Amino acid sequence: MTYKHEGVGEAPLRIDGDIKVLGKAEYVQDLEYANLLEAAVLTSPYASAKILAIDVSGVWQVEGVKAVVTGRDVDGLYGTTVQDRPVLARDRVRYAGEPVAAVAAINKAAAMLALTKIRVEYEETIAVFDPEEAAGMKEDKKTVPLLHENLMDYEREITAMPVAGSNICSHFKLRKGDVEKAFSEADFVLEEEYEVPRNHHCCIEPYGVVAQMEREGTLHIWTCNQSPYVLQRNLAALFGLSWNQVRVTIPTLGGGFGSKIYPSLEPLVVALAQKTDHRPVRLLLSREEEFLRITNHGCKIKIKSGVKEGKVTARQMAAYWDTGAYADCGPLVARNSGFTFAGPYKIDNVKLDAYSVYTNLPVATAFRGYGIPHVTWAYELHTDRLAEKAGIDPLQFRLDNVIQTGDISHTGEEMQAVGMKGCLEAVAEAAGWQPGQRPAPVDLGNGRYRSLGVACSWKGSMRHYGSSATVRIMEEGSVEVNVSNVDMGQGSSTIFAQMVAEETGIPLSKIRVQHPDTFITPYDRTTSASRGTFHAGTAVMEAAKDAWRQIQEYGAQVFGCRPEEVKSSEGKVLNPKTGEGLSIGKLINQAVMGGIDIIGKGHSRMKGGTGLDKETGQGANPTSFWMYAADIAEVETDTRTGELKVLKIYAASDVGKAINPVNCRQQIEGGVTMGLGIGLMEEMLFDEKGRLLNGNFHDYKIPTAVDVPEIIPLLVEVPHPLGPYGAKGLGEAPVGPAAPAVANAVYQVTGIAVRRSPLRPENLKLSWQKGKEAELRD
Amino acid sequence: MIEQRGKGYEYCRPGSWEELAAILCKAEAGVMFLAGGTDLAVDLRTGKKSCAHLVDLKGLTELQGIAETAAEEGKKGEICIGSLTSIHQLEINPLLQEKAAALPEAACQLGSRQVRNRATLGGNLANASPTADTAAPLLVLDAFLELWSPSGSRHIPVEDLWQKAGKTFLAADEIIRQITLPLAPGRGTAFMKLGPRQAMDIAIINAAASLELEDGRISQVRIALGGAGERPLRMKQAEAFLLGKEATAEHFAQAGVLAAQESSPRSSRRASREYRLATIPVLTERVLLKALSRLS
Ligand SMILES: Cc1cc2nc3c(=O)[nH]c(=O)nc-3n(C[C@H](O)[C@H](O)[C@H](O)COP(=O)(O)OP(=O)(O)OC[C@H]3O[C@@H](n4cnc5c(N)ncnc54)[C@H](O)[C@@H]3O)c2cc1C
Repeated sequence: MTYKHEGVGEAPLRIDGDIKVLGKAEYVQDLEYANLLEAAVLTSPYASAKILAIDVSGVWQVEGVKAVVTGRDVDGLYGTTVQDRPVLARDRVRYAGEPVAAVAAINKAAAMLALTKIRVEYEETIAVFDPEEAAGMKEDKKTVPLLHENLMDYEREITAMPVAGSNICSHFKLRKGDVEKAFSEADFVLEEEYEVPRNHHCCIEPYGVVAQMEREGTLHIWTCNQSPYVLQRNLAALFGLSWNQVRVTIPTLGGGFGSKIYPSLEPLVVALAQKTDHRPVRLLLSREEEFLRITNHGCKIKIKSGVKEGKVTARQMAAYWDTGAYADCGPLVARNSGFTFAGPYKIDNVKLDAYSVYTNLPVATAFRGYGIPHVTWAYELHTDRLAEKAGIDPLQFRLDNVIQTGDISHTGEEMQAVGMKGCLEAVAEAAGWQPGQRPAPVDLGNGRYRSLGVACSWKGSMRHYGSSATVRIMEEGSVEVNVSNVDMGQGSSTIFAQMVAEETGIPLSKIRVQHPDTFITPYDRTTSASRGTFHAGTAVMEAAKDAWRQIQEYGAQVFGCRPEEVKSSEGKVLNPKTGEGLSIGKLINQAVMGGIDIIGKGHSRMKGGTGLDKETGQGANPTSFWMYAADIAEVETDTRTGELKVLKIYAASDVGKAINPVNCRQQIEGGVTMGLGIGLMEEMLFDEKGRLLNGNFHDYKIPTAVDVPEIIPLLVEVPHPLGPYGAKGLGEAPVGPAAPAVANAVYQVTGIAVRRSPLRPENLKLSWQKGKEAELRD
Repeated sequence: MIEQRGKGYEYCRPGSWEELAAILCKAEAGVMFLAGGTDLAVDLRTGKKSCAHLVDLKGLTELQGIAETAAEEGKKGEICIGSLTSIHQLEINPLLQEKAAALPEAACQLGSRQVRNRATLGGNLANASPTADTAAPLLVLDAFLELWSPSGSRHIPVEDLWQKAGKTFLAADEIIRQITLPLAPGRGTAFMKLGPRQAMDIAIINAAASLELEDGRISQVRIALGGAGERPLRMKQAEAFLLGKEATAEHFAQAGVLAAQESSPRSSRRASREYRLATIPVLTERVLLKALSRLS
């Protein structure tokens, strides 16, 4: 029923490609407004301090200033999992960079100048930066300052499990089997510690928000947020409005990667907008400000495994997640990476503790993979050590241990449609690595070697949250798809249009996917957790089917046949008797004398989801679907300088069904590139006072085009019984294995484990030197 | 317009030497010269540098260009480069590629294409970064500079330009006008850079070498390193060690060890002293091997 090559499984060009390439796409900063005011934010220079006094009276000396707000002007607390965060700091600041006051003025220069007129008196207090120390778990530093004395009084979601009298805003636990017994019976036990420091999302579009209290009583927000409905509901609660009074409009969005999922600076801009005479107030962040707005978590991981006869029989892990000054989604990151923490392996005895811990650093949030890249770094480097100790080729060791369809997961789920082994086999074949016969490193002379490393990972999505969509077919045959999933560059709008083309036979050129707008497009939980294709896609598919059913009914009426006999071709509805095609407009005209739209509705309503038990982390259906990914990296290691050249990455992902194979490959390429950035060079550096040292693109390194190796994306398709056309998600899973695969290739050459990322030449070279010295001493 | 943190400045763009001289004689303190602005614009914005008068040199078009003077009786040939010549021009110049390979080799690894289009050779030198990518090549090419100020011009070897990181011996009203490279037909030159990224990165260490052989022995050698001290440095002990020896990998490795001994790198956010000391021998050895390969 498809039109040319535009349906499911085909690879048409992206429907938003041309407007982006031609520079026509409008991001928040491109939107034009009458009477616009520009906002600027004064932030704390201290990581931890009391605010003794704030004097804002000076701002009125600056011409053009229209509004000023401080923490004392805005009541209430907000936050995704724990409502712990004031819109602006009140009596104390908890990180260097925390908003303390904000100004709106007729232009940015006036707003910036006004900030210099604000006097804030601080009294610095003791700060804590290391998550393990902040959790009170370092033997030598048991007493630590508390960031949130009223932690237990905050409103919170059930996924946040705080520990009273501590900085731990959530402690996720998973208990399965008996690890102690399994350790005692194992052939060997290996215990290690890993660390992944904070890194940054580096979206091409820094945050931008426009807020206006419209005269008719609605609050209208234009923002680059990934989750319009989460934002709508948070703002409504914070400012005492009903949901239908808060309009969130999402224009074209320039990359999110998790940094734009949850309410960010919107409340602050609303607070300013409330103080103006219905004027729109705009806050556009500079790159330096964007670095402090939100970051990825840093994490320390302890891992201990027991191996018996080549099988991992027990695994115990603890993770200390540095969530920064406010929880944001930290508890969810600890939980969602927590239940996948032990890796894509069948292990019968598992004990996991994941702590989300407050520190006096900027707020950490979701990052493509939701903690999976961190935990994959730990368990995949660890897996190579285990394989080595067991005397088994690391690829073979994985194939022997990975989870498969029918196995019971660490939370007690009976796994279905598992493509983990398929991903490993796909990369192994492409790289020419026969299981059990790892190629030896190739000596390239002058201390350089080429070698291969492997790693794999899994990622659950999240619980079964709903998505709705409508498909409106207009008489002329053009279509509007209303869905609140945000296309941030991942290509979801093209996927949705392809689904509609598949179901209705209407050509892609006639299908428009709306920008999300809570006054227009229906509910969708979030654009996160790789859930867009699966959940919003299901809703769109159902809506398109519903619309097509209505057309079939008109067809049956007009052609005098049964509805299911009505087919379409090239955008026309075919008369099954004559084979003649009728336009949709003519059909509607003949059926009901025209003048109506056809509106199809669809929902993704998942059934049977379970939570996870608070004490044991057990639950038979914690996630709507799973994703699997495996990489083999071919790396040139310069043992004399520590430089690495990643030559090739073979990257497989189990996508269930590739709705658009080209788009899938692009997702893999993007994910691998991000993973390599984290693994090879990215790290946010803070001084001893918690101030960010490298918050710009000169000092914070991300891979440039020439640093990215050849990536060979491989699609594995193990269809999901509940996914649209069998599809799973894809966005996040490819990030995890890239860096560990590289690290494992390097380890094969040097035999010295480097357990902290990123693998910067200096870190490698100096670790090797120390490793060698240690060996000599032994 | 270039933003300066916290305050304004006066901008001018003289079109002739007279005009420039007049401006410099009139202005009191706070003059800063602007070439490509790829260092200066950043430093003015962050507040690392500040000025009252920003004198844009781009109006002096004769400061751009690369020309060869052929050898004559008793006088070696030379290549003259105007100080405002862009890094990209150095990168693509066939004359330099043939006769002073280390310089275009360094130029093509500086920043990105966009940066190279704006950045100038004079700016790279006057900015006085210890890891300026064109510095080590100019040191091994025996370059000298023509400096100009309202009170006249003078010539100095490039080595004498730098005091320490970020500081030159230029007078406040003095500019670099031209960079001259004496030609030496029989030499092989090379450049190498060590950094965490393959593009858009300031070097942790960079190295250049120039070699000549006579009867299989080293008859002339220059080694220069950036990042090995407070300014770009010639490695004179390593050079002295190699002179007269056979050009072998072992000798080059020994020269590398000597180079590390005569270096005093600092620790910075980019890299620790320890790491720099660990890699100086490797880069020195490898850049010598590369220069040698250019001979045959
Ligand atoms: C993204 C980026 C990447 C970079 N990568 C590299 C790199 O890889 N390697 C590297 O070495 N550098 C790099 N740089 C630094 C910079 O591009 C170079 O140092 C460049 O050559 C400076 O030249 P300019 O013409 O832009 O100098 P400007 O910024 O205009 O000036 C720099 C300084 O020199 C002075 N000056 C300029 N011209 C003269 C003159 N003729 N006489 C006297 N004083 C003068 C100025 O007053 C100023 O103090 C990078 C910069 C950026 C922004």
